[in-house]
Amino acid sequence: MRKLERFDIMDYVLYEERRAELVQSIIKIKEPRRIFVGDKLLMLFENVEMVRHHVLETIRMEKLFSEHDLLRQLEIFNPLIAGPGELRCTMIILGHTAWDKPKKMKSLEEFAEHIYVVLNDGKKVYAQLVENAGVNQHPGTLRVLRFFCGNQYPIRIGSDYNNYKLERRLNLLQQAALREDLHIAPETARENMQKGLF
Amino acid sequence: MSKKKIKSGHTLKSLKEAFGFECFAEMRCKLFGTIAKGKDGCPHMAEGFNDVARSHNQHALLYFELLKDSDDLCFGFEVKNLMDNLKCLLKSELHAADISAGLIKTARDEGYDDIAAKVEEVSLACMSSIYSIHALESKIIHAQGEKAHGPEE
Repeated sequence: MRKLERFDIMDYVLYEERRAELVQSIIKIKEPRRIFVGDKLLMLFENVEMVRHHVLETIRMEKLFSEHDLLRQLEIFNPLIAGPGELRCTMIILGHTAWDKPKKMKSLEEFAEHIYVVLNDGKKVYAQLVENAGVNQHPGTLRVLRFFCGNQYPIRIGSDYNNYKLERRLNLLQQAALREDLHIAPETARENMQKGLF
Repeated sequence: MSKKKIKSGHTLKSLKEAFGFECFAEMRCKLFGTIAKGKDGCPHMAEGFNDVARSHNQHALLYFELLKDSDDLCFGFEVKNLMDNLKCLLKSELHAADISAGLIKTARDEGYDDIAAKVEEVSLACMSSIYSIHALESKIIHAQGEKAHGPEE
């Protein structure tokens, strides 16, 4: 997947006008890519459209209208977009009060490394922290992870962390969405804009 | 009268609720003011709403001062130097991300999937704030380095 560039981000006023329509389309894109691992982990498998949506929503929510702020959002969110043969996801550790959340940076890194996907050829691939994602440099409930899948795609996802061991099968829609993100180059933003998608 | 630091208990809990409500009430008054000025075409009424909003703001400020001096992990803090203040801010931003994550689960458990989805966006927007604070910290460290060793060639 290619990274977002300045021309991918539409003007705030235009976004505001078209937001209702775009939110509806992003809900459909997000649905199969929002994957729960048990009730404590939410994995948002990101693609270009979703990341563009994060950027546009953050600009709107935090009223960041200067060019400098806009470029900074690209810097912040571009590390969420996967490189060739990999998938990236934002992992949100849910229910912070009720479970034994790792409190220190080290244990958080260890925890993230216990998340894995099983590919269609049976290979188990463990998550790695994305180095240039700012949020990974601080302890917290948000982590940006990457999975190297090569030419295969995930069919199961799980965790073998100490007290949180479980694995679940991805449904066909989820598998298809991740397969699409891995193998099919997204259309360029300009083409999508022409089609009225973004 | 000696000043007693507020410790965890009902007073602290009620203070947080009161603070939250005053902030909410201020926003609501401002919203009503905007509607009065725009849709209702009564700018003089808008001023009235804004006066009430200011009064809520003052109440919130009072509660803020009390919470600031409490020993609460998130609300209690001391104003220190620039770097320490940034560290305090970063801690609170990370906590905000934790709260959002907790809220996603609670909303989802109770069947409010649409709310959970909206809070997801807030959670992701926290990434932006965390990054900004981190960038400010780096800027200070860089400036301190330059001060100590002179600017880089």
